[in-house]
Amino acid sequence: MTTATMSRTEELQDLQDRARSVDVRNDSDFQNILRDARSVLEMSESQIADALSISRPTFNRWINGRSLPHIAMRTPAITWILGQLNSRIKHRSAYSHVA
Amino acid sequence: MMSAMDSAPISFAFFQVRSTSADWAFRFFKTVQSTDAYIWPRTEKDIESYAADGALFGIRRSDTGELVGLCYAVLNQEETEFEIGGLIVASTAQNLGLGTILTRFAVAHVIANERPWHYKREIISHIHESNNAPRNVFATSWFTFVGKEIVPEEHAPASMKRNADGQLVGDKFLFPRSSVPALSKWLDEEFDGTLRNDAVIVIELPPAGLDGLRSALHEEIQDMAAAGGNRGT
Repeated sequence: MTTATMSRTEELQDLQDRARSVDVRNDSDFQNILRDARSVLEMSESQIADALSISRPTFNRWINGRSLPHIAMRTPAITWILGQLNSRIKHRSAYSHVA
Repeated sequence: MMSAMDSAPISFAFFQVRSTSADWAFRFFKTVQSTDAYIWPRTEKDIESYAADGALFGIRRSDTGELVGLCYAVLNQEETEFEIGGLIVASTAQNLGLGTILTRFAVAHVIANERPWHYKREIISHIHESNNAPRNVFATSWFTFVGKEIVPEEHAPASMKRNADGQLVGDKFLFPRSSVPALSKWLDEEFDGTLRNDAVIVIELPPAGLDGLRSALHEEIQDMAAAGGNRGT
């Protein structure tokens, strides 16, 4: 299934699966998760950068491969993204019963 | 009789200044800069831009929320140098070591998040040639003097002090990669959140926090070793 045909919940779950299994030592995998997080979480670069205590230009360099952080900074970033995904999935699940 | 409040140490927090606090940061910067001919003036737009970009670091008093220290860490347009600049500490919070904390944590943050030497970038700072106040902060934070830079008169702010030849001259300092082990050792073994005069400071840099910075500096040292020593400048 392509992203274009995924439902919103499926998009969130797909990214959640990929974030859970990502090898943070793999630069391109880490970059892809960050890039997709921005669109799937519907957050701006500034909002994500603020949450990760980095600058917006730093986040932009990360997703464009013009710099990448040390591994020690990648795992907390992925953990934060997973937290955001989990809360959105829970929220959608809770409200899916409401007609 | 002294109450528990009287004896409580003054507490500070190091944090990333958000754009919502840009006007607060600018007012603080302007207050200090307007009476100091050694500080490069920054406009409200500059400070707003640094804050919006998340490139501004501050220290505030935890009890009153008063901003008492500020600096920025920005990559130049050519993407070759991260400049640690705009270092100021309020007169009410001098001699606690806050300038040192700001400088060292800004450097550690750049190393952890940008791996400058991996991308052939440097960490530098400029100090007015006659400004002795921050010199000790940079020297004891393992920066080394690189050389003097004359600011072309057309770019030199009118408020800044000229030398006897009528020139505005800055001293350029470099944080060499070979200084990372010293910074890492300080963070691991010496920094425990206490400052002079029994004051304390909390580092607010979620989600990685202090442990993330410590681990990132260890990784940088490993990278240096793998690259065959201090090949970086």
